[in-house]
Amino acid sequence: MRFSPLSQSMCDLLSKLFIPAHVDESERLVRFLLSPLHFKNGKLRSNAFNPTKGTPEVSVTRLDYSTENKCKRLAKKVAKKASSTKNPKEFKGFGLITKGIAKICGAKDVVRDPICGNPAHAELLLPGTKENAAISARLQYVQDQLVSKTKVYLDPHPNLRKWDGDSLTY
Amino acid sequence: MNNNKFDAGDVPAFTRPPMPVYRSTAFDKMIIVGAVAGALTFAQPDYKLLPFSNEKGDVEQVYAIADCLSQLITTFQKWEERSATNEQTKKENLVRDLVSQIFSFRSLDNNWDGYDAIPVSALAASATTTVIRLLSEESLEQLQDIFPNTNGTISLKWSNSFDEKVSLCVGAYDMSYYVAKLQHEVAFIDAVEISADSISALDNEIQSIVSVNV
Repeated sequence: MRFSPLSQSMCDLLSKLFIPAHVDESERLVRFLLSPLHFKNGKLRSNAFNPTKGTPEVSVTRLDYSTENKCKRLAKKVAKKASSTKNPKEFKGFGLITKGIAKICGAKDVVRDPICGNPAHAELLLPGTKENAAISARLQYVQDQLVSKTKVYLDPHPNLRKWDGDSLTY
Repeated sequence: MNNNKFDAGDVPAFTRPPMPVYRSTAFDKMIIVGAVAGALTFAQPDYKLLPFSNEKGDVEQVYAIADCLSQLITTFQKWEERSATNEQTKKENLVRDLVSQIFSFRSLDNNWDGYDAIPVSALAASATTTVIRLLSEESLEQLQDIFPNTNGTISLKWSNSFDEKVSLCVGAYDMSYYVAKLQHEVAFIDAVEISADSISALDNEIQSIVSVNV
């Protein structure tokens, strides 16, 4: 997505005004699940918590400063953008965890990282990965721990614009 | 029905019906033992368990029984050989199915997960194939999951009913894995070169986990 500098700075300003910089331990963090390869037999795979290529960051949204409907709309937008005819993608559901639990699982921290369109965006910091290099054993372990503690909320009606699944509680 | 062929990462891309495998049963062994016992009994005519004595007229029957016994043993040996061949074919089938899955990951496009992922690299796919070929049949049979990662590598998972785990990630040139066993510290093994020795060590760890499945 392209944003003008003005809209980006407006986003930053709004997020600074309304969303605290400090991520509380009890805050609910939502991971958008967009690929069928994130699941096997309805169970989450650890690749759902792979850091973004070349960084130690896993994108999440601070649900306490967003809503389920807004998260779903954003997730559908991301899925649409990433979709291709060869590998179509659609929003599958949410993975829900708290900062405190994520840290117990071995995550280093959760830092605020507002982006335009999602001022509640944050990054879950894990050990990083390198392109085509085996993921470190410790990161694999942390990812498995995260998966075991993550509550998965599958979208019962992906075609609807609003979230009508269970309320996201941890 | 979802047409996405990756939807069911759990469904092997290529399946073939299992080859019938001969395993010697208790019944087979009873037949052999019975034949041997019969021959021994015949060699000691005092027992009179067989319907002939040790007289000259019975010599033909002796040879007939010896022939039968010989044929039985030959047949048994052939069965054993066929069994070994079938075991080999079974591993080949497992390897073929997994290799087919691995190479299906190659056809993923960029950003396949919505978070800027790259498809599995040719080198990582080839390295994973090497690992799979060198793992034992038991380890391959007990493999629970295989899937691509966003950095172009492939993960493989084993676990048992006690939630003990081996998690392996194979990259273009190396592999890393951890072993989590009950009442043991988690063992982290990083950036190991892919060789027969390192895979043998990995195989032993997998065996120690999957052998306790109940």
